[in-house]
Amino acid sequence: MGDFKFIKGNEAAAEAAIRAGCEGFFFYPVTPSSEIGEYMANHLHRTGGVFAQAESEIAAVNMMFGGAATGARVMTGTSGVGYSLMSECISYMAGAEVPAVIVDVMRAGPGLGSLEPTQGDYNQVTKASGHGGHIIPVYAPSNAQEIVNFVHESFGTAERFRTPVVVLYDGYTGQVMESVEFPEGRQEKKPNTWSLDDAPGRKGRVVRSGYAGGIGQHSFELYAKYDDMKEKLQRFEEYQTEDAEIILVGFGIVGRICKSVVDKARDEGLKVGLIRPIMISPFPAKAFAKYKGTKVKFLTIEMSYGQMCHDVALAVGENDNTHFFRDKCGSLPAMSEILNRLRQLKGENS
Amino acid sequence: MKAVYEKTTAFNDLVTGYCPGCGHGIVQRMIGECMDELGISDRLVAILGVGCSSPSWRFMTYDILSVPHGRPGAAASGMKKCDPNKIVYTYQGDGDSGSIGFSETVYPAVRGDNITSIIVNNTVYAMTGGQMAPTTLAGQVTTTSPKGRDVNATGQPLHLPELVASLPGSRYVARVSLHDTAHIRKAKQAIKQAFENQINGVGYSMVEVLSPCPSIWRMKPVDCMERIAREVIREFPLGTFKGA
Repeated sequence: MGDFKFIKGNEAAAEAAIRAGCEGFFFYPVTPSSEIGEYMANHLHRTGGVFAQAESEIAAVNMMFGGAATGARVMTGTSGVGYSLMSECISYMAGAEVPAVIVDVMRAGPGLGSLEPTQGDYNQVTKASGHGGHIIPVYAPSNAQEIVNFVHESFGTAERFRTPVVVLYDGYTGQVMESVEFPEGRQEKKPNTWSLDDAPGRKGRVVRSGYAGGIGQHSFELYAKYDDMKEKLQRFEEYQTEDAEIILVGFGIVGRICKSVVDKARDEGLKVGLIRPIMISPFPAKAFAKYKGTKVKFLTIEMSYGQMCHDVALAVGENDNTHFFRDKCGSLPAMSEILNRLRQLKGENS
Repeated sequence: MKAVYEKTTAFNDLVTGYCPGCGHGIVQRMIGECMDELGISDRLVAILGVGCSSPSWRFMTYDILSVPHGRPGAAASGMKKCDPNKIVYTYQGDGDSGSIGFSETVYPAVRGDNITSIIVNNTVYAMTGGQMAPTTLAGQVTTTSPKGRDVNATGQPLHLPELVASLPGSRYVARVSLHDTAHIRKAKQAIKQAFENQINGVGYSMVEVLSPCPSIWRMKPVDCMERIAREVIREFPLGTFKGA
């Protein structure tokens, strides 16, 4: 039996990290993610980890880089505005192949925006975590339990692939309290051959992303890693897809809402299913491959102008069967509205 | 026979790649000598910013972390917190530390983190081809101050050590120069002091080193040393601003 707690999503992220074996947490306050840092300030010492509040997100992520370079298990928590500032160093860490976990709790809209639920940072974290064209794994939990599971797991993923890993969710999921079960045990930590660890007598090591003499070979090594990640990290949930004529696609809390929509639609006799990407980078294209050339319709639901819908269209082959439902930014999509759109699509079918 | 001068174990057999007459090789050699003399080769980590010294990991034998432009101070703080056994020093130019990384350079001193900051001040952005730096002297011609630095428009040269010395969190702050042998020996003493402070848990130390840049200054190496002695020191006085 694990340990159950009734806890906020953000605090669940912090507690899961402590239990996974997080040794250093570096942080700058930003709503709606600040509870992660507050929880760490109060609890990380329990396991001997270090907490530091930096003077900015730029400093926080570079502190994390410095800690990670020693082989310590490190993390930061932020929101889109902070993630923008961190992107420079995330690129350096991806280039230097240094593991770390970044929890990004999305804010709504560009600029200062607002705090309502949104998914506007999909492209930012999956495609644009800084310059240079790196790919980093991104988990998209849909509830507090998944925040716990994925934060815990992400430390292992980061070390296995030697890369920063993002856990992305919206402010709603971060603020709501839910009952969760914490897994037992830490993420297993294996010895490595790259970090600046304490090993008297070993040869000096260099942790760097700079390849002034020519980056060709290093690029190909990174590409091979991205291929490996694409092979091993395509994660998704399929629900009622076997006989579905219309398949909803949604990640995070939208995926959770869509699951309820599927049940409602089935009650009405609509053959509706759901594909919920659990990792949004690498995008789980293989979930969609079998539908190429079929008459199955896809309806992607996002709380943004439309970002993941392009990945869906690419995976399924864009045609008249791919549709997008743009929810107004700043509120969760209503089940009734999605159902109406499904009825419409069904009508167009017959 | 007794050896009176040897190569530091901090360097391998590769050439440094610096321009003839550059000061970086002297400073990094002195740091290497300190490493040997203090017996910290297993604990020492250099955190490099971005500038002419970025590729210096090639010829050094101990642990090195290369981080984004201006950010070594933050990375050093994070590293020291995660592993207090390390002897962590930042190695940056005047643009890296005083301009793009101003905040990340000053804040370790605000916090009083037990790290060592070595700053090499040559009054220009050298690696990018000689643009105006925060330390460029009034009237000094650079590629981006072609008529000479106009201090009314761009401000006076930045004195980072004096500023950092005013913070309660700093413990040892000095400015030294490489322009002749006597001053190089003093510079070595200051750098060693900065590392000893960290080893002994004294706290934050910063040493700024006035350094020649013949390629960008368009001067012969010997003339560069004269320029430091005559002009640069007038703007940037040498001395220990704080601590023993």
